[in-house]
Amino acid sequence: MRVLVVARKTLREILREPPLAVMLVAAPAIFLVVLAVGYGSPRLATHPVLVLDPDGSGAALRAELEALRHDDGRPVFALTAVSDPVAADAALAAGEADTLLRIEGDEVVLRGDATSLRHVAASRLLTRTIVDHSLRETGRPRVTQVLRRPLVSDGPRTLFDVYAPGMLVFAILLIIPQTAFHVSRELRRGTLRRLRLTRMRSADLLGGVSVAQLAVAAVQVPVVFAVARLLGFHAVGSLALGIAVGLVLCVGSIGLGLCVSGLAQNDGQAASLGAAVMIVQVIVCGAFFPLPPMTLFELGGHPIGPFDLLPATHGMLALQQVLSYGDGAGEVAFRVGATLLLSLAYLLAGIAIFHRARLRSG
Amino acid sequence: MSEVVLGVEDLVKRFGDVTAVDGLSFQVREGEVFGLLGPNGAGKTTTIQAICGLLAPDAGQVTYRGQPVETTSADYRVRVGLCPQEIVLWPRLTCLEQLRFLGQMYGIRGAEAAQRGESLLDELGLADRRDRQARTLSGGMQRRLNLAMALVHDPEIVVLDEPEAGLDPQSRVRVREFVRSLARRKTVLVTTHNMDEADRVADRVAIVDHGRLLVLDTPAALKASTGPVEVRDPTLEDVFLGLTGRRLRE
Repeated sequence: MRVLVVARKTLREILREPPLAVMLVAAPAIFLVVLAVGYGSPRLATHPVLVLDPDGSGAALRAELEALRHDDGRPVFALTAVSDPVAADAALAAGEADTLLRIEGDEVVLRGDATSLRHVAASRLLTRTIVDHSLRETGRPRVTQVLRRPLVSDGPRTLFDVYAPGMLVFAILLIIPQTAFHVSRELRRGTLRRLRLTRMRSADLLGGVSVAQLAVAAVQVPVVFAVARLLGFHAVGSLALGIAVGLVLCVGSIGLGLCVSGLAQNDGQAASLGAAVMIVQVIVCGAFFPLPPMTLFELGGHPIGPFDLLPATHGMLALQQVLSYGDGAGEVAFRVGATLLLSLAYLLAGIAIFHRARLRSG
Repeated sequence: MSEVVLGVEDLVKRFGDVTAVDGLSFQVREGEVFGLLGPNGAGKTTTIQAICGLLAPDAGQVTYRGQPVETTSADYRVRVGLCPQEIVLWPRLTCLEQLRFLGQMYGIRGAEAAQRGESLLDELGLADRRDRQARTLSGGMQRRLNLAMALVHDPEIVVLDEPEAGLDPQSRVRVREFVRSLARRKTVLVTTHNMDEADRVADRVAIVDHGRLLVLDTPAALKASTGPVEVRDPTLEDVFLGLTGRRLRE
């Protein structure tokens, strides 16, 4: 089985380069430590929120928001009614409130400073509550979001809890440049040309590299999860399900890495291009900060946005649902399924691109 | 006369406006060591890459035992073992791991590939380095390992691209002896611009330039018939310079 022979050889090479292997685990772990130190305590603050509700149509929603409590009894939001939009914006700019909530009939708008972590955290919590509220009241969401479980006692307790799943996704996406680098190194060394003379097929080489990377990920993902736990990450849902979601996402990262290696001319270029692809994904999947909802259409009741063609977007949401809000396998099935399908699609695309670019006779 | 194993017929390969190989034809007989000589840019490496299936020719063909072959077919490629000019190894695999891995990629079972690897390492004086990673070997040792890699699948035709490049005299003699020992067991096609190497190891020599064949004969016959008249006892180098000129090449 040539796939396994290639996998064994690739694993040997990875294990014999300790700096590379350590970097894979250490880089996200270091970010986790920074996050834990910065945002691990105190527990989630009460977020000052300005409410602009000119016609009073949001009374029920406001009441629900005011009733929300952290598990230590403190209110999640401190609402202040305002009537002047200009004054409200000025108060936001002055940092007197984390977010402005404007309710106009069916439309709900959240405003705030996108660079403020307090706004990011507040808007994330607000969005969930608003979606839950409007689903109950009207049967359809007012604000596009997919996280559905009620907040309060089983939600994230610290900002670290909010951001840790994103860091786990970041760790998994690191596999993109690593895979691209490993495969492209065969090109730079000339060993790929040597392999082209054998009976090896594209699928043997790329399948073998993928299996090796998956084996690395099988160690890497649980280690990063364990580091997060040690640093105080409060996983509400099943850690095993979270790890499974992470491993599925690894397949997509490997596929994207193969796509990159088919386009790069050498391993240095592959690492740079792979890192760029990784960073773009980290940003657009909301791993570091949530993006505003951008729904293009709905699929089976799930809002689909422009970045939903990337497996990381679904993987990120699934991880958040599982780890931060305690959703089970049934509730994340759509997102996990989408992650898996897209991951396999990228893997096949990666194999096809690499074969066409690197393994055919010139 | 031995059977023709490998035939190159009117081979043409272009890279944009540059014609690297321009209607080249020659035949290599079973069990002989065939030298392909030429200055830099003469088309030697392009020719052997086309023979090995790494480059698709624009025109012409390669034949194996008289039959045209699809050089990209795996069944043909495994009959050929290529030792490239540059050292092509996996730096973090040991000598034996490299040979075993490559053998397995050729479809040989792991244990058999390892056995062949051990035997090749022994023949090339690397037995005591079998468990050392390639990156820890000296340049000469890496070149010998590079040569072993071309033979691990026991190919019928061995193509050696500048096998003595960068070797110290001791390693050069060892490699030369090894190449000579391959003769009769294998058909060997060796490219070089080292005339001494060609004179010592090759049964027949083809001199190419600008992608075309200039002459093809035994070294002795070439020296006798083509050597410049003003040189007493011409060497193969005299023949080569007489045919390809003294102008420096890129």
